[in-house]
Amino acid sequence: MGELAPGSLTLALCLAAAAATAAEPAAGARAGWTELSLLNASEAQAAFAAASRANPASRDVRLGEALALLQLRSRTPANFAEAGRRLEDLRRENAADDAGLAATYFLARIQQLHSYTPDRPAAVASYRALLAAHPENYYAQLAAPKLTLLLLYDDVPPPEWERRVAEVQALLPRLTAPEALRDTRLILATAFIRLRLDHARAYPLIASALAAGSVTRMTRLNALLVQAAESAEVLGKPAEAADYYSRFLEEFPHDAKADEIRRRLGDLRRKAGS
Amino acid sequence: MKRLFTLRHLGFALLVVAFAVASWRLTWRSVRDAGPGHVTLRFAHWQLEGGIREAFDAIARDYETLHPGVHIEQMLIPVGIYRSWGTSHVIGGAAPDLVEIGQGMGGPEVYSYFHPLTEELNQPNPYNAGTPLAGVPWRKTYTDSLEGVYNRAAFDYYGASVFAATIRIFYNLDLLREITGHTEPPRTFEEFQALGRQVRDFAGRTGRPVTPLVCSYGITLMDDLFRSQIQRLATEMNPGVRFPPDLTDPTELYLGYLNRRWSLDHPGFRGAAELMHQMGREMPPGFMQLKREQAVFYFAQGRALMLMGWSSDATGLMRQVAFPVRAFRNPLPAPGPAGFGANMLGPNSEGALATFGALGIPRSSPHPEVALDFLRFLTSQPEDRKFARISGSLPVITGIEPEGFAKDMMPDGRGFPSGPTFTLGETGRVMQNHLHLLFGPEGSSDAFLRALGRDLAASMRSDLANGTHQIRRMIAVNDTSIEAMHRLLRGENPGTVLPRKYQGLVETSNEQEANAYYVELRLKQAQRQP
Repeated sequence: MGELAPGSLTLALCLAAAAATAAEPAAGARAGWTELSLLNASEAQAAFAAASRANPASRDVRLGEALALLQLRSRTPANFAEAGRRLEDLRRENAADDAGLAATYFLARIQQLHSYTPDRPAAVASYRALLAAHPENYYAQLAAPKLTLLLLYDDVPPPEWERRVAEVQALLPRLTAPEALRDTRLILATAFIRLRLDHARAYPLIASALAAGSVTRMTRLNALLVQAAESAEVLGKPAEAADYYSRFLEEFPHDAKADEIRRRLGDLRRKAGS
Repeated sequence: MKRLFTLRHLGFALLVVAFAVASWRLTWRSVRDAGPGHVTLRFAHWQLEGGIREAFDAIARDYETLHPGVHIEQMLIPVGIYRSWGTSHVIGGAAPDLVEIGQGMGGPEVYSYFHPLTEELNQPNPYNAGTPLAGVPWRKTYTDSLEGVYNRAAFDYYGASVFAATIRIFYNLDLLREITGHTEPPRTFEEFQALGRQVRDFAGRTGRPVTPLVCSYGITLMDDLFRSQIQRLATEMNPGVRFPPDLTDPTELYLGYLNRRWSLDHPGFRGAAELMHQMGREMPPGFMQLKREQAVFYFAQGRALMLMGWSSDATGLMRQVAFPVRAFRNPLPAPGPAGFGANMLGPNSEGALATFGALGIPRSSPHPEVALDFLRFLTSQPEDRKFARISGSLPVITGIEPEGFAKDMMPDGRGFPSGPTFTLGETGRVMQNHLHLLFGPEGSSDAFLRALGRDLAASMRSDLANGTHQIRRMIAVNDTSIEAMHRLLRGENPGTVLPRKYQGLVETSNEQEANAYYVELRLKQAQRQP
């Protein structure tokens, strides 16, 4: 390993300091993020304003100020426009740092969700650009399920829908964040079932998500275990169906479906035994 | 003159005494509360049913014995004013230590003004030590794992439930014996109708004004019958699985109707209307307008053989009548190849006992630690057993065998899930508006369905559009909360709750957002239908 020149060392230390700054919220901003996490937008605004007085250049604080505008109960076009302007400033100053990437993601969310006149194609383009430029970045990973639902739940002819399915399937191996992988898989699987009744393509995606143990919501786990069992039955995999039904009964023994599932499980076991 | 003088003085003296007593009570309470180490814990609720107050008092005295420095008082707030009372006190920072959440309180007034209890509920309840529930997370000790009180807007739990209820038909045992010569209640809908005929014959023969059934909550209680009939239809409309959607989720049924996959001529929907019509025939004219007190009065006077109500009404009911009372579950048609039974895939399962009436701790509570400790005590297995025994209500904690009358109130988990309810939102209002055509003197299921057909599609569209609007709004707000959590998680000591909450929020947002887009797509496709 070659010796570091003093200039290089200084640069390395500066980069390390910058990285550390990006990784953690500024001390003053922490109160603002805490309030924002609790859906207290007005209190968050006050906390970010105080942090801004102490450190007006902090991009973390400026991002917080912009996002607090999106969380206010008065969801007005003026608030969205002001939030968009602040996010645009952050992105223009530096599109590649943490705050800049967050700003890019939230500008797409304004296009897709917050705006009273959503611009779906623009949101799709923004998510695609984010995923292309920074595939492993947190915000790109966050964008993947959003892009997936925009592509699949659209009124397009079957060939175009299949082309979009292929785009999403190509995206899956690039997803490194467990939550992005889980949700992109499940949005795709649910679309296969709801829009095509396609158990063959849905089942492996659901099975993977269940095997990874990444489903945290009990109501969703309830629905997915039933769906996995039903799809397995349709696909002629009775042993796998029985496993999912058994797991359902372990998790939800008092559910309104439990009695019927016990009956189905009995049938599957009888068939397996005969 | 002298007499008038004396009366005036007597009145004045009474006023002085009343003032003195009130002042003394106020002063005593202030002095007691201000005493070193003394805590007065107050909790508010709206459960005025018989037995509840006594049960709360008994548990409170147990707790006081265990914790001599603590005094507990309950505040009973009438249902009619509960929402305004609760909201103003909670937001104004003047709420008691524990407040029952519900009756319209469920949005920002909860997640902004109550302490989240998710972390505590994921820990064992220390008052379950020495019971089979020792070491079990508090939330999992509930019959429904507290699913019923999970706040889906904030992805947190803000309270621990104390109540659970089922729908049951109470009957006058003596009158049943007098009319039929036996005491066995009907088990099927056909037997129920036969009993109705016997009651009418009895009334005609004896001249006694007895009606078979009375109820006070109208359509809500008959919803069970309605949902039994759309069991098969709802399952057919639910893509990819052989189960109907959840009880409160009619989305797929609405989308199916709007996309012309079923109509009001569907045997299931016709059966639902006809079954309710036939049930209505067992009740007195104008039953939809009856208030609870009026219905109980009918029953207590022996003018109705049966009363349909909530299990939580049982204790109060027993105190008001002079005859033995028993209860049975709503009799439903049996599944079969023809008639009502053909619309069913199995008897309606009641599933797990859903809990409600969570007591939460407002952020303004003067004694949050004591409030939490009392809440744990109240919902421990031994104390819930005692609460259920005294109040006659259903136990909310697992592993408690109901005693006596409560045995007949426990949910029946056998069978198949029912279809979703049509009582919610604009569609529920439209259904309600046309019920006079079903239950009126000249009412029929045909007249009801004809009128319903004019309004149903618009109401379904409105409910679906409103639902997606609400979801988008919730997701928009939570988007920024997710970002805030992400940043806090990168800091030091994020704890154990935040990572779980973050994961749950991301997962739910993506799932709900996909649902909203799906509904919009299917609504768009429905517009193209001829």
